[in-house]
Amino acid sequence: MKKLFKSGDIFLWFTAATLGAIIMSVLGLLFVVSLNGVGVFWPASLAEISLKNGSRFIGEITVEENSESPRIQIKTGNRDIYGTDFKWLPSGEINSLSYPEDIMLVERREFGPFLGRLISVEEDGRTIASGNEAWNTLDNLTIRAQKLLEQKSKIEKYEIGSINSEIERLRLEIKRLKFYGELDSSRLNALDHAIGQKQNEYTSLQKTADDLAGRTSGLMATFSIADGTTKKIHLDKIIRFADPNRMGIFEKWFFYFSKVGEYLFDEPRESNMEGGVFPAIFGTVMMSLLMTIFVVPFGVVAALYLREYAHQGWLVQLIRIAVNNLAGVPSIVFGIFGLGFFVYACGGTLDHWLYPERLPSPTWGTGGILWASLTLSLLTVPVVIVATEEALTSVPKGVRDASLALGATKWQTTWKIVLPASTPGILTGMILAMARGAGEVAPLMITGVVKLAPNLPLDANFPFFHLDRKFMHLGFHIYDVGFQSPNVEAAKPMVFMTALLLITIVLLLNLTAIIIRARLRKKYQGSTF
Amino acid sequence: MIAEPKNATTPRESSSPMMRAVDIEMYYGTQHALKNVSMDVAQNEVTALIGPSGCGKSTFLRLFNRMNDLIENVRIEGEITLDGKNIYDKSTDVVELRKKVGMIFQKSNPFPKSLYENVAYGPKVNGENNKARLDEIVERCLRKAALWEEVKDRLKASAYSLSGGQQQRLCIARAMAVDPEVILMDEPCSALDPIATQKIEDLIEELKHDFTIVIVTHNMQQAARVSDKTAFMWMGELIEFNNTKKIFTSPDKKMTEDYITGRFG
Amino acid sequence: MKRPNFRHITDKFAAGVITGGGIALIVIILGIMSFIAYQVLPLWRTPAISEAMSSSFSESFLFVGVEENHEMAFGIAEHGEIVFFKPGQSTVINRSALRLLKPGEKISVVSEAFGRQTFSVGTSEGRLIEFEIKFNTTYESQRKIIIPEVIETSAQAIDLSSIKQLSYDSRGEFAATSGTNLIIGLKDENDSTQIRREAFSEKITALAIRPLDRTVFVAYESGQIEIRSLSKKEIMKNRDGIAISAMNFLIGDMTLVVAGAEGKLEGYLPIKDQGQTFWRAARKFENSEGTITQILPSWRNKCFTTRDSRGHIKLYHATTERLLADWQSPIAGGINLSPKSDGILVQQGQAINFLHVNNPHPETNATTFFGKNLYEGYDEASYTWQSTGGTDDFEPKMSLVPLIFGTLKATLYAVLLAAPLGILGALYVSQFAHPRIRVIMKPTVEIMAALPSVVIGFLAGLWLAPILKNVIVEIFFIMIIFPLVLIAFAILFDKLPKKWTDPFRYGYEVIAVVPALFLTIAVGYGMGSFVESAVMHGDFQNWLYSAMEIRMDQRNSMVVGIAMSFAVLPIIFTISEDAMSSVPRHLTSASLALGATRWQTAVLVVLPAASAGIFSSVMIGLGRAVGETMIVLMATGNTPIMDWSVFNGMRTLSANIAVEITEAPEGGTLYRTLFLSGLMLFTMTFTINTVAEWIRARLRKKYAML
Repeated sequence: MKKLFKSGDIFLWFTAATLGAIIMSVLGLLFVVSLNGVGVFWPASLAEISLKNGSRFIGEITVEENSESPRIQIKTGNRDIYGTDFKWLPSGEINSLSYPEDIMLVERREFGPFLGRLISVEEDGRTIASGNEAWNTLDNLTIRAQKLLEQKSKIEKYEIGSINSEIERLRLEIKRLKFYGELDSSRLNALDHAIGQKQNEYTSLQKTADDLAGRTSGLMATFSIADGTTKKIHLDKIIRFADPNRMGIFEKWFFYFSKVGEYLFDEPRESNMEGGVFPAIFGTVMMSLLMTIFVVPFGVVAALYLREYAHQGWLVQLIRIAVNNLAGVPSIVFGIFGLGFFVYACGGTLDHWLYPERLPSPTWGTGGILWASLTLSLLTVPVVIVATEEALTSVPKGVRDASLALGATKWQTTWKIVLPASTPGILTGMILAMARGAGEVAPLMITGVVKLAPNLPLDANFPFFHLDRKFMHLGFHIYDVGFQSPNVEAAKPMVFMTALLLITIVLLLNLTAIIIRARLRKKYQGSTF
Repeated sequence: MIAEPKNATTPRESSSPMMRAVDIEMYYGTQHALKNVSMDVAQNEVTALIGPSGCGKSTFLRLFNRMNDLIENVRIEGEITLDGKNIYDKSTDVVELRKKVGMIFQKSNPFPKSLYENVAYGPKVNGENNKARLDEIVERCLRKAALWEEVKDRLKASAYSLSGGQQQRLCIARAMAVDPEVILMDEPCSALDPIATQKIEDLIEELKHDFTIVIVTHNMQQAARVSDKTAFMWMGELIEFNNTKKIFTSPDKKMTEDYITGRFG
Repeated sequence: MKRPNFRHITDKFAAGVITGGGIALIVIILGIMSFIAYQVLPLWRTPAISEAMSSSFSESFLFVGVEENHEMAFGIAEHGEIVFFKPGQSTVINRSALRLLKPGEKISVVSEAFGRQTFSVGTSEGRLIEFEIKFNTTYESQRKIIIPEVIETSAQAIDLSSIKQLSYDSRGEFAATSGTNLIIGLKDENDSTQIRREAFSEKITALAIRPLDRTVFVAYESGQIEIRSLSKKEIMKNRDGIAISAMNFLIGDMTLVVAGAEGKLEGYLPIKDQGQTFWRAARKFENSEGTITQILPSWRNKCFTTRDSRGHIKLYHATTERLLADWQSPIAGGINLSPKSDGILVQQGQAINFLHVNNPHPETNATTFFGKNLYEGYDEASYTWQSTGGTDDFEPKMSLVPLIFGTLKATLYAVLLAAPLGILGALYVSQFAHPRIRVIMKPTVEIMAALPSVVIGFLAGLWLAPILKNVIVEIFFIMIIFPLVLIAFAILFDKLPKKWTDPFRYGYEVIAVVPALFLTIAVGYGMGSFVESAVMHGDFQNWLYSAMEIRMDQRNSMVVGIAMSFAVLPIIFTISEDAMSSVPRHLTSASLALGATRWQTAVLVVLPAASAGIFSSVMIGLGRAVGETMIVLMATGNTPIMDWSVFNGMRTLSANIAVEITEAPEGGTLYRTLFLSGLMLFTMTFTINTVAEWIRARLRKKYAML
């Protein structure tokens, strides 16, 4: 024991414990996110609880607290009825707790989930099914209603959407002509006529859409909630329903995956707290790709300059230090630079040149996906430069000499020998930059990311790429839903899911980079230079 | 653009020097690296440069295809001619010069590409894109480098899959592919085992029929074995330059004799 | 050979492009810094008054004013005509006579309401006439045309003799004097105007109406100020007995600027002292050479303009007590400000001069950002950040000190936690760990470094903070017993049969130690909750408040410290590990060969040799923490308070930018101030990183020589 202290081995144990704590905290964090994220869409069993005072509740038990006064938290849903999503019940007051099979979970377009029992289904006020048949009828009719709604939203999204963008284009054309004083009456008439025609098309399409919706408006289902009162729900407000207490394991998995599918490929609902995050995924990916298009060529060219072309003197040394330091400059500083330079200076100037008639409402002089990606490419350019430089350095000098000695020009040597050999390194830099871009939020939220973007930056309307549009982003989605939404507690599961998704994307990108880099090192170690 | 017509059909006269260095002075920053060196390189002969480490022989060799241009802070005086034209003239196209004066390096340095691509690289960068002609060049050069039989079945394999000696022969084949007039060799065998060295030396013997060769070596036996003429350099000066036989049997200078007999170096 | 020319052109072109790219890189690095600095620069630009143009007319005016875009000016003449003209031109565009003026009645005094172009004129017959001047704009074939309109609203008789002095507000309240009477018209609770008239015994030198609490401030020749409302009157205390030549309220009615005889200029603020509010001369301004005859408050901010008897027109800013500009006017009549305070009209006799005022950022100087300031509504000078308020008359409080403090606090807590963990962990990995552990550790730390800060911030704010609130005592105990449990564990490990323990020795201790960590957590947690329920009645938060009067925020510095150490730790770990493992092998071998243990070698040889590297790792970690935005934004309440307590939050420079930049109009003072904080972050991190890199470079050289 004396030896333990004298040799200092005891302190060694402390360092080991520190390292253990670091590893545990990283794993712990991943564990917490996965645990909370993975279970979000699982259809948990729904308990029916009656209290000693006679009140009854239905809900999923979310927390059991064993403090001095033990209590449980249940997720009751029915936000429109109770006002909240959660309820604390003192364990001592509980009279009975059961999991009846007939409790249903109904997902609605508004007000979050509904928990209760199905009583009957009505069409235009007349009961068409009740009791045991009600479920099947509800199932069939809901599917019907959903198909109609789908047709409606298709019309609204594509056909009406394109008409709207056409009308907007015509209006701006009038505005432009007016601004330049080129608007004579014949032109104005022609444009007005075109707008009128489009508006007629719009009206008739809207009527078709409304008719489709009208065919479902008479369909209702009556439910009873825990305290026995009834609640009618329009079928077109129902997204899906299930009876988790009766479901087998396969049905649960099916339900789970259909929810995950909705999450990945659908639009958000209920101020981002429900539905999917497709626009955010799309925005994140598109922004990262745009950023890559800017940053990789520039980063590679800059690295080539520093390593291959520049005179290796104090200036290059200085630039290298500056690049290193640029990597350490806080991202928010890049954010305000992007806002001041790209958005206001560049965007504002573009507006003055290109769209003076639209001012003061800005076209380019406001945050957008182009400005956000440019800002992020400044932020990530050191990553690409450092990775590329590292790769260039690892290409042996002898290979360059050999190429030159064969009568190749410097550019031929660079292009045919040096660059191909450094591709994995450049790729690593690119992936790391993308990972950084996907995970960064602060500079984005001031240069173009929004809570809810009405349109994707890429669509079927000319000119297809709308780089001036604002966009959604997974990282900002986490911040916004987790900290700015009206009902943080109810939004939390969604945020965990998004956090899990974001971590997965970022870590996958990083792992790819780590693997490529390891291969790259091996390759040169293996050669006989 | 230099348009020095290459007259392959005219038989070369062995007496006329292929390359000639006249009164070369070279400075590395403030260091005087070469002092008044003059030397003729005769056509279709092997000229060896020997001398102790740091005597300037590699530096001198690199002057012949201007590889020293890549190093900063170098100043050169005097002139080096190829076919009677000063290669340090302003009008000289360095790229074209290096095509005429190829080089083999101390460490084998194949490109991280296939065997085929390594040999075809030179012709390709010089504008040859015809597949059939490239195939022909690759085969011819690999044969000349005595590598064809060993690798003909795996031309698509990475150059790194070859052994050290094979890699060096590949580099020689690669250098021949652009059809140079002179091949400079900078201690080509220093990283190789005796058997591989033997093969390279045999190869040099063969090559001298088609090319003019200048070789730097720190191995005096090698110089004695492969070269027709030998230059002994010391501290940036050319001490003695003569027929190899003469240098190794009865050198004019005491210093040369001391070096050859192993008294210093 | 084919295409040799093309080959050379390509080569030249590529070299050009690449060099261009390199130059672009330099331009970008310099550009970012200079652009941000360029945005900040106008904050320090000296405000300027410059003469623009002058006009002259055949008549003289009592009062002149200008439309907000300076496209049309007007003069009010004694005989009741309002003359409209273009500033700088002497041609009359339009004339409009006051119809409510009786024949023969003359205007004796004009008062403009604060914040609106509504006017009240006192007449020679003791009447007040109210009217408004509107400027209607229309477009006629691409040209903007301004049509002035005079809307007369009311006329009332308030006295029998000519009105001499008048102060009027936009609600129609007024204070006026005639030759003998003081007449006050104020709204009562039912919003109807009540008029009080009484003869004054002492000469009244100045009047100021304060709509905020419906009072009128009356200054007498003796230097006394009387505060009158409909129901009562009181004398302002602490007056110095110097006669008052002019006084007026600034925007917001919280600062009363008083000019004494001989040009003494002070700002009176209502300040609470022992439960009572007193008006105190809390702000002192540079004295004027002449007697100040006019004090005109800006309608936009806390600036005001004075005119003195020697023709000086001076621009002051109240919060910073600064004299911003001084203009010697060749003509020294009455002055008036344009509605946006960017122009001054000076009028004497028939001449009218128009001055341009360039004063975009009056409220900024070093004291604003870094010094203590006394703000309206505060009782003492303080460092406060509150950039925007709900109303126009809000006084911006732009002290960066609380934000710098918050930044340092967050950084300190993060580094205090991350530095020991990172350095000790790095020591283990570099000196003791088996290579296989090292191979695992690298990617683990890289994963840690790659975690998006928004995820860390979210977990800290929504997951960790609520949990931490309940387990603070437990964590305290875990930290206390950690060394004890570990020592016990080490002793036990030593005593166990070698057969069992050997697989976990020599580089694998980190695996063996995991159970000890869990044990520590379990034991500490148990002890903590026992103590909490026994001593603190199971509620630490309440106990803390009742026993020590410390309030605890849920999102406090502890949460930030833990969260941010997640972001900082990988940096510290990686760089110090690099420094330690590149200590030349022969040094450690020599030490071990002399019989030193692994630990002794690590402490006596490795740590001293790598100390510079470790130091620079902590500095780079600091640099990262200083700029971290999302984590602090999400893990604290973002309140700009100055308190070192672990149980409170903070607001950092970076989070402040993220919170406020979206609300800051481009080019405004707040916008530029946020750029200033950005510039500070930029320079801070740039300096820290450069120094750290320099230290590392020197260390590498040292290793190379060893």
